[in-house]
Amino acid sequence: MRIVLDSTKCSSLGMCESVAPDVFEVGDDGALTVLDSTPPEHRRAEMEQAVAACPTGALSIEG
Amino acid sequence: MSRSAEERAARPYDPADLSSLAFWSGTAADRERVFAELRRDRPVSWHRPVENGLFEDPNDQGFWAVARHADLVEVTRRHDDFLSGQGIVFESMPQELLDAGQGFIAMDPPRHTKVRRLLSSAFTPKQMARISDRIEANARRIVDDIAHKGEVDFVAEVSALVPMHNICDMVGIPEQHRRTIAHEAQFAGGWRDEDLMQGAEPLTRLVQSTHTVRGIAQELITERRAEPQDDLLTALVQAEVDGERLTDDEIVSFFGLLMIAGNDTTRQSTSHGMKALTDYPDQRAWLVEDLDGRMGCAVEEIVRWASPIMTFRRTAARDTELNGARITEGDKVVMFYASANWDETVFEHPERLDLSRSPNPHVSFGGGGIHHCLGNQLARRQLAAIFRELLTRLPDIEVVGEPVLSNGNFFHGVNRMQVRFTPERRAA
Repeated sequence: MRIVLDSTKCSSLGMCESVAPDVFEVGDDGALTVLDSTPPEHRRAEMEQAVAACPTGALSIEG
Repeated sequence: MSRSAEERAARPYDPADLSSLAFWSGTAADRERVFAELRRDRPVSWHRPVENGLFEDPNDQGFWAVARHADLVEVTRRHDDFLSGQGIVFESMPQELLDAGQGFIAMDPPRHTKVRRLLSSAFTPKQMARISDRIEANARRIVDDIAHKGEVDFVAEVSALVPMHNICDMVGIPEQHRRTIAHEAQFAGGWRDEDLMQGAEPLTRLVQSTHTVRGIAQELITERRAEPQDDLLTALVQAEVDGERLTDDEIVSFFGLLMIAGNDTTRQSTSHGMKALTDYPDQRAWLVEDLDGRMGCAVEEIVRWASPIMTFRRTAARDTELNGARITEGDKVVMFYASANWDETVFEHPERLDLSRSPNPHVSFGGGGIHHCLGNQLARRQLAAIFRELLTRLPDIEVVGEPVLSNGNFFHGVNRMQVRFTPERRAA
């Protein structure tokens, strides 16, 4: 499983970070970093929730 | 007449009334009867221009009303087709007022993207966690001030103060300006409300209010340039977009937006939440049984129930379709948030307050997309903090009599609302 970020769509609200703060982080400059782009398989449901929480559809899961 | 204007002129108006002053001065329950019919039969319908006490607009030919949840979500996500740059309320406002008060909310990409990012760093989850002590302290301070009184106007002494202190803390507005700014900010959405206007001529009052806020903002901008602080205003003063500093006019405009969007939304949700907790004692008892565990969920339902912003407008960028309706370039498209939050295909028994509702895909912070409420996490934290404080310290607090609602088509406003409670005993 790989987390893909389209930074042109990201509006840095951090909804993903509020679901999984160890995977997503909006920095003080307002840019989102995916801290762990290949989280372990057992976290799939949580990652799907983080992706769904994004209001601009900037996140997706590959694989 | 342009082709678009001709097409609009030839289009018949829907028989349902969403445009009269009477419609917007009624209750949410009255409006819901009309919304329910539109959701069922005519989800995207064309209406005559909204009545307005502000100014006549001979070019206004009407608006599309979007009543269903799914369609509202679609409009907010199709930001290339449905633009914000020509205004986000029903009325075509004079450009000067648009510029002064609507900041980046009435902006389109690419500039919207860059400008909004400047502010987003103040609203990240990490930043919210950093200021959560402050938000809780503000809630305590507000309840401290009323706890011995036994009966107060909840709007003036609680709802208005919660967001006022929190947003002013964040932006960096000192105590002496807070009440003036929170009061003046109300006119942006409240100029249709007689109770607020007190006989003033709307456009004159609106311009006056803009000048007052601008004056204070300008003074603070000058201070921050000379002496930077750790606040949002300093961040704006120092920020660059495409290698250029923001102009003072731009900063003033963001300042205006933050004051309006920050104050007048959470204020309404706090009031409607208090009323709901009074009207539904069973729900309240359920919440109080496990305040910490259930507050997150309860806040979502309070925000759905309140639907503090009733409408936002977009303007069609081109000829397009929405759920079968043929929309013409330049058409106004108005989304009805209270209607979408009552959509029975999305919410089971939407007419029931259900604090345990989950999932709760309400659209009170928007239907997603690039304009989704920047302050949504701030709002959630503030509501949780104030209701936790109230229900813990004033456990029998309840609304007495009927709230005085405000008139208007934008904010779902409560002007006054008495609450009564057993005064807190002073600590020995």
